[in-house]
Amino acid sequence: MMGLLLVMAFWQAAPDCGKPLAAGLEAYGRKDYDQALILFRTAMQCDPKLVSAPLALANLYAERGNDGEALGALLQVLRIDPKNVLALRASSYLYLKNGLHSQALPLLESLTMAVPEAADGHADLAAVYAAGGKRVEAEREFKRALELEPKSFAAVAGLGNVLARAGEHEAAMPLLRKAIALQPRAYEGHFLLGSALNRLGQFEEASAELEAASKLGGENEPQVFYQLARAWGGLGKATARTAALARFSELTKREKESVEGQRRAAALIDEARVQVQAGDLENAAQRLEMARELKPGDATLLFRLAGLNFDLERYGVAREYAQTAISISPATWLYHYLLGLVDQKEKRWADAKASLEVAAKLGPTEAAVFNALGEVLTELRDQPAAAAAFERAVKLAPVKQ
Amino acid sequence: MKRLAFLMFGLAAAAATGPWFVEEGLRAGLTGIFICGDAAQKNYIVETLGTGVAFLDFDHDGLLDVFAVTASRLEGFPSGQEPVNRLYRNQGHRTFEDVSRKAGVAKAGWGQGVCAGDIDNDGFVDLYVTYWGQDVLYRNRGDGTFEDVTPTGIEKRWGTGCAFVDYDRDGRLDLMVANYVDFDLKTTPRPDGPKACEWKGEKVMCGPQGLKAGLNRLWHNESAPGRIRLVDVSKQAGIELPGPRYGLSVTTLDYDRDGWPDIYVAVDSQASLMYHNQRDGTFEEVGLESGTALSEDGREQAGMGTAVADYDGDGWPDLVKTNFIDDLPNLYRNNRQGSFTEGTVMSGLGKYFQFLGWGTAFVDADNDGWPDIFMVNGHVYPGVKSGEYRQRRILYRNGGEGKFTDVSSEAGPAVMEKSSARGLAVGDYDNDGRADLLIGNMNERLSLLHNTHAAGLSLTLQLVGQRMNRSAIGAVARVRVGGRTLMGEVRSGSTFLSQSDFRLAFGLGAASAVEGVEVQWLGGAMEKIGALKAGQIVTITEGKGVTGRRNYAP
Repeated sequence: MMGLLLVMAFWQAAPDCGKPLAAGLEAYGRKDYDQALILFRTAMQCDPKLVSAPLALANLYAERGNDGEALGALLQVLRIDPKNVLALRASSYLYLKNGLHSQALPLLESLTMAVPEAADGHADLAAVYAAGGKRVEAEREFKRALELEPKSFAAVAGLGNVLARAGEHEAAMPLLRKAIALQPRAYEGHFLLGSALNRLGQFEEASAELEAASKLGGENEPQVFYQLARAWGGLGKATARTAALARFSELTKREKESVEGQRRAAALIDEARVQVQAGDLENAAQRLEMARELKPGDATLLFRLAGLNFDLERYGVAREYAQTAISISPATWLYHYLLGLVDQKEKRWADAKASLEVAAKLGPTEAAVFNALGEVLTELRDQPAAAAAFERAVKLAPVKQ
Repeated sequence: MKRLAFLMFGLAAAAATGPWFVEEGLRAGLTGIFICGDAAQKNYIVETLGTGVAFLDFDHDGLLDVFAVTASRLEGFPSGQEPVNRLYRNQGHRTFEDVSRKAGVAKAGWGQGVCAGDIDNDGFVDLYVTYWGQDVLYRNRGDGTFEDVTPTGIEKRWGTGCAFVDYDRDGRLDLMVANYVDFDLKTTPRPDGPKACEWKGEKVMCGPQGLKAGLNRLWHNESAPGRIRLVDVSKQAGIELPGPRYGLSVTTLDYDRDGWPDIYVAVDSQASLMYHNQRDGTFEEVGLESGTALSEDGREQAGMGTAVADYDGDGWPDLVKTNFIDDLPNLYRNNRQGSFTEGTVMSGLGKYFQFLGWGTAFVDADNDGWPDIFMVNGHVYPGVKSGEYRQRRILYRNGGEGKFTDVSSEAGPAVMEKSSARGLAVGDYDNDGRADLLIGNMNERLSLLHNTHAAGLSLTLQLVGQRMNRSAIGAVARVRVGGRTLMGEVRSGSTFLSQSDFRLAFGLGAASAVEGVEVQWLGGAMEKIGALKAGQIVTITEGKGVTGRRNYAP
């Protein structure tokens, strides 16, 4: 995905705003990713209708594992160009990766309409239908994908699985075996065949397939071990069954703790919001601290913590949080702005100037940023630049009569 | 010869014509409307579960009466117009009269489920009604009235399924109660509020996920003559050990046939629970190990209703469980070694994803000797685009080799009727030897499906405990016929928040008699009875053999 997106980003760049985009690509080339993100965002600000910039931004965020930001950028592309194939494909992929099937569904439906010859689009759509229990639609889309690409692993395995789950094992088994022949090193094929064999009571072969699955990348997939336990149980191997169930429980527990952590963090953030509204900043900060332990990589949460500590005049702590937020999401003007304000409070004028200049680049329509920049430049005795910043601020937010 | 006749019966059943069931609730006088929240809009999960129904013979006249639970509306009702639980006395001739007030059970509140059992062993069946609020235990005085004997210590919770079970085999019925959500109306988001929950892109009520789960309770019966006393033993008995769960239906079964009743709780959105009786007053939760906690993929499901029967004729109890929409039910086949294997798809129950299942029961609807499966369905979200709120019922006919076929259409319009159904009870209310069905529908009248199928013969056994509890809950009867042994267990609770007839009905196909009956009394001896003719209700009293016979009504 990455290479293609970047090529598209480069070739679609509009001349006027091509400079920051090209500079961003250069920065990307030399692995200066933070700078690249800032420049891509700058290009987006320069020309809000330029799809190449948010595409490039999404690609870079996705590479950094920040699916939320990547999706945000891709959805922006789709707002500009609802039929953008790259954005449809990438966003549906990210939704599927995060288990958000209902969000992926309309995107995949649009994708298969826009590019009816794309086998992977049909296979993905079929998988979503299958997950939602829409067997007829799933079969139709898997078959369409197979017509287009008879060697599509996703379609062969997916169709085999749908048929096996419907009890049509005569049709399913050859497909599941074919999937393994297509990709013998993919654990999914072995897992699906093993599960189908379990259903048929062919536990000896099932256990072999499932053991293969557990060694070919399925070692952290709880379902592999659940099926293994079924196979061992069918073979009367009680000790092996117990061990497989124990592994299943361990992996499931891990998954649950992660989900529960997210839920608890959301609840804590809600509580903090109520406390902020009630003016109880100290307790709100404590709640957010607890939430941060559960969601350490959440830039928004870090930003909120920075803001609260700023209000509590704990500037050192505020700076630390703002810097961490920026390291996760360097192209968000608000984070740089807040860091600039923190530095301004501590009279670290040069640092403040640097942060606010980045904020101004990323948020060229934000009057507050230019106003703060003007104040900092005044302290630095750069009167012309300060005047220019204030003028910009006034232009952006003139005082209403 | 008998065996041949039995085996040939499948052909006779296939040849039978006409509907299997006919709706006759209104004709029979079951006119009450049973409420659960607003009919058109569900703002809170408490409005979605519906309520339970029961077939029981409260006045001991040999005819099954009907008890039905109602909840209420969150905005309430004008004083004096509140819906109340109803008891309908069977007057014979397939008609009922409402005796709720006379019997002292016309209670308003947010009722949910019901289970029955003779808790004081006086020969009259008592009732436990669960509530979002304070559950109620009714003692049957034996004169057509009940008294509220709710013990102290039963806290206000959201009780759902319940079952009486003599888990320690001391001859007194104990009580298992599932509690769903520790629900707080004030803190739960509404669909029209800022923190609304979504389902398939539509704003809906929230829960159960995200809400605090309830804790199952086990009450030990320590009653003395004239005084009902239940003691909460949930903690020491190991019932609390799995932690809070969104528990719904409760079913008891002796799945490992060790003579000690085990308890299964269908759990919504989490792993379901199998409490294995350790014969020392404690239970070990073995849902995962027994293979009954999850789907066959190892996924947690939204378990709703449950039923138990030996559907494959191997002499071991199997389990069926209904689940949420976009999912399949589970049919767990007993492996006879302390575990189950899911056989949903292979048995023919993997056909539909569009139903949201609630009450389910094994019922031999055509009396061919193979338990069929009946399921009632209905969505929790009225008005959503992506699923029907009112859904039809399903009758799966057991073809005899562990294979089921949907015969709902053949079974008639009463089965194909759409409603948002919840509770389900099975019982032969006209004593004609054919199992009838009672269905609780959301904000509507009850459905009473009268079995009119001109199919096989049957024998009904009424077991009466002496040393064990009088309701004989936990007793197992085995009937030999045509080279097969049919099995039935007397059970409280089960299906969904409901209570079925305690009597055990055995479909015999074309066989005009059974060769023999064995009754395994809970904690007691095996009692052997000789041949019995079909077409009758036979009372077998613990230690005394056959103590009563009554031919089926014509």
